[in-house]
Amino acid sequence: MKNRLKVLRAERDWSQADLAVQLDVSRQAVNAIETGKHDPSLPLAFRISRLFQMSIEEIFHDEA
Amino acid sequence: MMKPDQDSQTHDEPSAVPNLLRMALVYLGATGAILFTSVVLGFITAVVEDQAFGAVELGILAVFASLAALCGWGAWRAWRWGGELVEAASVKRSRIVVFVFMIAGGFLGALISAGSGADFSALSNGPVDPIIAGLAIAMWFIIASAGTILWLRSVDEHEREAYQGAASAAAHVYLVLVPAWWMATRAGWLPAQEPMVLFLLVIVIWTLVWFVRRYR
Repeated sequence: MKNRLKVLRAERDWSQADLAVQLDVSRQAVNAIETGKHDPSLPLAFRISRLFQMSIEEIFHDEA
Repeated sequence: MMKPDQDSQTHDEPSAVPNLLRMALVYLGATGAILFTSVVLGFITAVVEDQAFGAVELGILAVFASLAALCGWGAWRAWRWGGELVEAASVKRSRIVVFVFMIAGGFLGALISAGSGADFSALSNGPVDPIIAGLAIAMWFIIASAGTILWLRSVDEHEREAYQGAASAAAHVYLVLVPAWWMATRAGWLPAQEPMVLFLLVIVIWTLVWFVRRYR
């Protein structure tokens, strides 16, 4: 699954560690999501969408 | 504009050193520190038992103590290489659980060592003091079980997924290895199964797969 997390983070000048603290996950988890190695669960996807004040579909999109 | 799937990092992230290499250095350093600390403790025990403590022994002790300190320092430096100074509360919680596990593991190792006499080895099947055996079994059942549940509840979903994926890989290796070894023993190709060899092998596979899935 592709996502715009890296772009959204960069727009706010946040590091991966900054974002990880706000989502209460490890920096490795943020890196894995950004690089598409880990698809977040629905609860985490909702936390991300609330943090960026965007819908899940605006952040994540299916590659199919 | 950056593409989301490109892996360039922002200025304050561990871009200079690949994450996997950095964490490999952390684990290597920590393992070295534990190893050399064990050597120092073993050496002190031997010297006290033999009542032979001179300049040569002091020199050897200083060398191994320095190596332990160097490895510990190296592990710490590698850990901080990426500048991960801010961390989520869940990361801190899970690390505390791991440290408690490590202390309990060290205590358990010292306990088994004390109860095994001269026949101490991770692969030993020799006799052990029944009281110490009871304590060790109780620690595995109570502390290891409760600690694992506590740790799994404290980690984030990425870490949990890495751990469970690694557990699955290790379980499959065990499922294949045990009957294959059993059959090979019956055919006269291999000696009888060593439970601790299998245990260590499963642990090594579990750790390696977890490590790659977590830090790749």
